[in-house]
This record gives sequence, C-alpha cells and structure tokens, in this order.
Amino acid sequence: MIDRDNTRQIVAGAAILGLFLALPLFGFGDYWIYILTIGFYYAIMASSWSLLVGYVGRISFAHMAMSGIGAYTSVVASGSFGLPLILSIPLAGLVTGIFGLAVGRLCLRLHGAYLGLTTIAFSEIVRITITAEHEVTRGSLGLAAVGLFETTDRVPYYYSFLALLVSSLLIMWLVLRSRIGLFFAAIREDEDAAASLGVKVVRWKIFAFTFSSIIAGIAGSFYAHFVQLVTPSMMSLQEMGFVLSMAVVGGFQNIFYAALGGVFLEILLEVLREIGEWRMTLFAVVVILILRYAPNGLFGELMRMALARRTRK
Amino acid sequence: MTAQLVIQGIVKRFGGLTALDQVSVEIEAGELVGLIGPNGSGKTTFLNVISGFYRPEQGSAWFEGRSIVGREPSALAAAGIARSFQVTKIFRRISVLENLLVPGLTNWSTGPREAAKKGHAILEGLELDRLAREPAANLSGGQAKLLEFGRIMMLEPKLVLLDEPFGGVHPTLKRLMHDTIRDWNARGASIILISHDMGSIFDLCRRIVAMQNGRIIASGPSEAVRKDPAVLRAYLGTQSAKVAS
Repeated sequence: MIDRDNTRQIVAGAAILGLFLALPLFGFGDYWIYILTIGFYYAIMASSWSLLVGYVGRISFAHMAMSGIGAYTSVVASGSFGLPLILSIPLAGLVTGIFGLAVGRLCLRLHGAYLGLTTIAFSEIVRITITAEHEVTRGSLGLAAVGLFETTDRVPYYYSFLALLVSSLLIMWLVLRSRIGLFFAAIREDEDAAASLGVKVVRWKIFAFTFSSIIAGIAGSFYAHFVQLVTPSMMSLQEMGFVLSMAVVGGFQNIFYAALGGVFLEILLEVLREIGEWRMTLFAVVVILILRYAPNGLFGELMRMALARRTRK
Repeated sequence: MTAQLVIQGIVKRFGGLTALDQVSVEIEAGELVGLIGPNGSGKTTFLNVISGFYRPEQGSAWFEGRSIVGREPSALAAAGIARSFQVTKIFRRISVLENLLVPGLTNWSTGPREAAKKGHAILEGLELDRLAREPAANLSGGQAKLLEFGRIMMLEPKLVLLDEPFGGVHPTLKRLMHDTIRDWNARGASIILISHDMGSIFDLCRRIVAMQNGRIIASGPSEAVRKDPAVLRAYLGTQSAKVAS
C-alpha cells in the first residue's frame, strides 16, 4: 500500500521531476545525459522489482532476464522481421508478460530461498539459451539494434526514458493505491489469512509477477534501442545484483524510493569509476550497511527523519 | 431439510498420522456448536478442512448443498465461510481499518468508501475505532483477536469457524467477544467454536461435539456431553473419570 497522507512525497516527487526535466536545458554534458538515461532505466527496473519484493513479499532474481527477454524480442522482431518499433516494443511487453505469468505460476507454492533459487535457475536458463542460440542471437557478440530515434542526439532518449519512468511509476502507483495494493499487502503479511478473507492469493501473485515482468520487458526493449546493442550480459546475475542493490539502497518498500536508488547508484557508480573494480566492493558494503542500519533504505530513512522533525515541530 | 454443513466420513492423514478418522457431523443453519477435545484431537484440522486449507483423502463435505472439498479458501470465504486462527493472523504492517478493508473489498461491487464506512461501524462496535489509523502491529493481543472478529464481520458470513478465540484475552474483552458471538448467532450465522475455555463453551453453546484422536467421541446437548463418560475419559483419564462420574 502507498501511504495515504503523502502530500510531502508528492511535492518532493514533483520537485525531483522538475529537476530532471530541466537538466538538459542547462547545458548538461552529453556524457551525464547518457548516464542519467541509463539511470532512468535502472530506476524502472529497481522500482518494478521492489513492487514484487516490497509489496507482495515475493523475491525474484529473474527480473533482468525479463528485461533481456523484452530486449531480444523487440530487437529480433524489428531487426529480423522488420516490425516497426511501435509494434515491437509492445510485443516485448507481451512476450515478457507471458514469461512472467509462466514463472509466477511455476513458483506459486515456493517461498524464500526456494523461490529465489528457482528464479536464479530460470534467469540462467534464459541467459545461457540466448548465448548458445548463436544463429538467431549471435551469442555473446550480441545483436545490433535500431535506435529509437534517427538522431545521435541523446536528449530525445533522455526524455523518452524519463517519460517511461514516470509513466511506469504512475501505473504502479495507481495499482498499488487501489484494492489490488491492499491485497498485495495482505498476501505479503500472511497468505493464509488473506485467503481466508476472500483474497484470491494465486491470482494476485501471478498478476504481480506478470505485471512487473511486463514493465521490465518494455524497459529492456527501450534500453536495447538506446544502446543499440543487446547482449546476454544484460541478464547476468551481476546486473541483477545491481538492480537489487539499487532497490535496497533506495528503499524497496516504496517504488519511488527504489527508483531514486536506481538513479542515485548509477550516478555513484560513474563517479567512482576511477577506483575501478573496488567500487563494486564499496557498493556491496553500502548495501550491507543499509540493510543493517536503514532497512527502509536511504530515501525511506531520509523521509522518516523529515517527517519525524515535522512532528516534533 | 438438509443441514447447512454436512460432513461425511472425512479422513485426513499427515504421513502415518491420521488426524481425522471418518469424521461425520452435521451443522444446522443458526447453530452455535462447541468443538472440544484434548490437544492433538483433530479440532483445528477439522476447521482447516471446512475452510479449504486441507484437502481430505476421503469423505465429502457440503455447505448449503454444494461440495466444498477441493475448493480454494478464498472461494469458500466468498461462499460465506469465515474463520479465525489459533495464532492470531492480523496484517501487522497495515492499519487497523485497512485490515478490515481487505475482506471488505474482495467483493468488487463494494466501493472503498462503502467498505470504509462499514469498517468504521464495525470497529466502533468492537471499541477499536479510535485506533482505526494505527498500524495493526500496535494492538495488544486481545485487541488483535477483536480485529480478527472485525474482519470476519466484514464478510457477513453464514458460517463462522472460531479457533481458540479466547486464549490470553482479558475478561473484559472476552465479554465483548461473547456478546459479538451471540450477536452473530442471533443474526442467523452458524458458529463452530473451538476452545479449551470450558466456561465459554458451556456459556455460549447449546450443542457440543467432542473429539479425540481424530474421531468424534460424543455429540449432543451441552449438558449431556459434559457428563459423557467418553468425554470425561478423554479429558481426565480413566481413573479420574470413574471418580468424576
């Protein structure tokens, strides 16, 4: 469930959106526009993953695989079959939705470590299959993808990804503030109790998997048509680790905080590029510390402190 | 006329353990039945079968003329069977009112405002309305039991299954729970009440079903079951039962 008295959050969200809308107008460098665009992609991935984990209580390590399925679907459909992007991207959403539904159904009775391990296995099956299927996918060399736009200017991409981020957050928010969000919370808290009160637990768990997969698939297809290359490495467990860290650091019990975590950590990763692979170690340490000392995530903790200060006043 | 709930020859096994062994019982609409028996006698398993959480290996179960074996708990809740749990299962991280909105909104023809209005009215009756916006985690053990009652009331059930509702509850709250149970019953709901609190059982129930080792050992009016030698043996042991009878 989304907090009901969230005026402050809406104001903060509008301010952040205003800032992102204005950044390219202030002559922000091409490089940082590129980084922020990637950051928006990760924000979509982290927030849609947090919907599943934070709101329904279902862990999944197959989220990047869903993104990859979406990316490959759109790239193959547009590249090999000549489908226009306006059709290949929705097709990517549809195909990942079907995969999400299948995984959701398969994992219905699984919890915790069993569910996590099953989704890891699924993710690896997808990645290895795509790597091995050289004739269609060119294996680890990857497939070239057409761009979303016929320009090399990155600003249109920046705004497209921002629009995709805002619309996916909006759709998720609308779902979460509806009765479905309440059913998610009930399932997360206690499946038996939810079922005894008439909540169709099976239906809503499958819906959650499918819904978050569709968002991941569409985000993946956008990503592929932005970087104009799709490789199996985008589905690696390391990539999944990034998304997980972003959601945890931002605050995976709130889709907006998780999204901020995505942008924030992508920027941080770039800032720390000078220290090479050590940044990954630092990344992991930050995640451990956040999990231990700020389970609501960095932004969740900041908001909590801000609200506490306001209450004291 | 056919009974509201008809259970015939139910067998439920867990590995080598037979938790329910040829259990047959009928509950008429509007009955308030106490289900008693020592620990491990199969009472909760019986409730789990009726509410759809366990599928029996043998036997049949009918509610208002429809078979309920193999139906999902959510479908049975929609059909009018509501239950509480031995260990309270409230949704701790959402508010007290939202706990009530969960069952209130499972019917898609009910809007959020309508459900909230009904929820507030129920909370007021349970003396919990001042806590409506509090996270349910802040409730005391007794209040949590009352909240479970409130959620059941949102469903307007025809059959209520209560599993040890009075465990660890303050006498004042227990009185309120007794009144609520009587009120449900007066409005036409049938109730099966499991409790080790014999005072409450004899106070509330006109009929008692006693179980031991997965079998029904006695069934009938409260006073008769109270004096039944098999029930006395089950509760007090053979020697003590002789003395008591």
